[in-house]
Amino acid sequence: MRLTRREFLGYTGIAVATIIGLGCAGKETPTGTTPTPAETPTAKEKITIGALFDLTGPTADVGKDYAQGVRDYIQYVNESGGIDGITIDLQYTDYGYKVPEALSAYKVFKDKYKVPAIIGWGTGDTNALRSNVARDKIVYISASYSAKLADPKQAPFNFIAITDYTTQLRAVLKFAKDNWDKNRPPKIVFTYPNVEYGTDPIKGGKAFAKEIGYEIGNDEIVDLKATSAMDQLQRIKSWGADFVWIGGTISSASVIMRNAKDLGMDVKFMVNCWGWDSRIVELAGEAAEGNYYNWPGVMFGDDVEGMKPILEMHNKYHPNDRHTIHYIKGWLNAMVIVEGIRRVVKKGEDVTGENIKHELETLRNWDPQGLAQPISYYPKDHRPSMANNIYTIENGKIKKLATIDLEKEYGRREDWLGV
Amino acid sequence: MPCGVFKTSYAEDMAFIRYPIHKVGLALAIAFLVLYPVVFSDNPYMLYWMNYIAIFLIGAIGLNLLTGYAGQISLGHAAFMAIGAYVSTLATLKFGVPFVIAIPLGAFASMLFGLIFGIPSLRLKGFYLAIATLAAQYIVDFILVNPKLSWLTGGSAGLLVPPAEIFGFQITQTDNADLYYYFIAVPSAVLFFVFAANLLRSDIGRSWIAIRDNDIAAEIMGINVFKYKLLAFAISSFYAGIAGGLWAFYVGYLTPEHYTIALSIEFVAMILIGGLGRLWGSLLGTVFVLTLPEILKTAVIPAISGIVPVSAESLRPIIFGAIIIAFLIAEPRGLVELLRKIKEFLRLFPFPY
Repeated sequence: MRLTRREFLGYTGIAVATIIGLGCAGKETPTGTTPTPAETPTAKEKITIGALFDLTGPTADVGKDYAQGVRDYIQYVNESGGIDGITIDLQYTDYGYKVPEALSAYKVFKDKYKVPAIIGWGTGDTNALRSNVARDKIVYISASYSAKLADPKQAPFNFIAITDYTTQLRAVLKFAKDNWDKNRPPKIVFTYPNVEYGTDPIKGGKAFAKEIGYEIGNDEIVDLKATSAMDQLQRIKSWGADFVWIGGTISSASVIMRNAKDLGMDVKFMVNCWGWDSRIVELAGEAAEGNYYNWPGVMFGDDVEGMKPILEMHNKYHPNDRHTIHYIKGWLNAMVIVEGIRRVVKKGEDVTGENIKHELETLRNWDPQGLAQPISYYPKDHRPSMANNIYTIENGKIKKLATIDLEKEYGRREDWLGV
Repeated sequence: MPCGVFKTSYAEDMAFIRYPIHKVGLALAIAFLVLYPVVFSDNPYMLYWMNYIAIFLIGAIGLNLLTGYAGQISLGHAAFMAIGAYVSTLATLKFGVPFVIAIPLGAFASMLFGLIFGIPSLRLKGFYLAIATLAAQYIVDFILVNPKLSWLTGGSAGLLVPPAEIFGFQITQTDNADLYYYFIAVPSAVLFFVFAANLLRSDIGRSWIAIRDNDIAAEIMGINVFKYKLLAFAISSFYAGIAGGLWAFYVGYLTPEHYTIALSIEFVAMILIGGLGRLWGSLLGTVFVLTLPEILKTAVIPAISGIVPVSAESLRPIIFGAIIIAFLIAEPRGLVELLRKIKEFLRLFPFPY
């Protein structure tokens, strides 16, 4: 075994560099920081909140836009004077959609930054942290709009900013039924990927479909990464469905629609709020026409009050980027958290997770500047609203069909809470 | 004064700890492990990392026994880990089995499962065996997300793991969970490490090495090749089952999404980078593979984020991959070999040989 001096020095160099690297890791900020504007040093105080983003993982295609929305809103608040002069320091981590990384980031948020609130992302991290945030009393708002997260019995410190998946599904079922003109019960098939995001709304959705008189076919599983859904669609076609629910993400949704067009099927698709955005027009082409698309908010660029600051940030910092509804989802989540903090600050209380939760639970028909449905949270019911917008595509243009508010007809049904 | 280590009896020659440097190292290691929770008692982040490494170390040792020592390539290690995690969780959830019994129970279930998937090793070698173990991965994945079994496994939604209790004392899902769990995870890792080290000194370990180096020669020497191959699968999946159970209770949430082929590959990466067929390699590899992404995230990415025009986060996987490739080119036998070279050099310094 020989080793020249040169090799030895090389190895020692690597070892020393690694040790120094390790040493620095302990001292440096373990997460990214939002660039704070130059004016902020004059600010009296800052409040640190945490965020988990997927910028490099399997959901990064929509996660990046979401993260941009969150960061932009926080920066916008800071640039316009913060909350009574208090700036918000957003500490975010790219967890790559991996649960262990989300857990490690959570420990940093909790112990190093003592955050009162976290803006989360997917189903995995939200579920893994659900009992932790309840114990540590940290408000957690996620982009996973599972109905379970709206039930304070199951998830006392979790919030969602828009109508949950199941209620969105119920709304589109109701809309389709009301516009059904044939003299027989409409037939529906549910397609979804066999992951939690896909299966979550199915049970509640089916129960409601049955209740309002749909005939339900056998479920079909279409994988998130599917490149063809021909055999599933063949079965759906031979059963003769009128409606097909798509509970996947945009790539599988566009595959299903294109395949259905190839098969010459005469069905209307109902697409979940992560299954489409403005890119669907390009991805699915003509096949995207005439279907029903769920999303309780507005489209990017719509003429509402809340779009002004978004466009301001957009033109100022990234005028060439293209944004989708996922950007608005991020912006909305940040908005709700900041509103909670603002109310706590206004009362002169300490900004703790418990106080933010308490203040959020006093929101009644709070309008997020028209970006989404007005939000009300109750101590025993965290469903933000029961309303949903139904969009469609006509001649390559996205068009809003209707706003369905189930609360008007059904109220906040107890048996829907958490299902 | 003697200038070397002299042994005057066979017992000394066969001792587990033979050299003075081993004694010093052992003392330092014990001191480190004892002082660690004291120093970081109010820093759950550091405790979490230690627990994370300790738990995955158990899994990595298991794979190293199978692949590094017995020479049987496995791409289904995450599946064995999943079996351990699910069985121990379900035992606690459905039957109220206490935590200390549930973990070995899961490990035994995983061991049975490993035995079944070890049977093809009688006829298959190398890549063909790897594909057979890959089947384990897909079968387990299929079972775990199958909607017809969701009453048991929770389906794709996974399961919430009940808090772990030892004699009524709750150790997970409480305020000091990371500290309490340190005293479960780290001693377990030490125990399984020492067990493996001793196992490898025994006839079993030597038989494995003989089979790895040349199975026909081993058979001619009178080693029952099939038996020892099965034993390797059984012990390896037992280790994976322990790791799975410990991880499930630590995280408090079980999802099939975690135990995919990606995790199996990560285990293979750990033992390859650390050193195949070297027990210390499992430790170094686990530390390396689990810590590097975190260092990249905390130190490297913020440092270069101002320089590069693209979003620095997107460079993270590229840097991770590049470092692994660079390491494998520079030292294909792993980090252990690198350390050995340095040690050898220092031993002979200033002479070249």
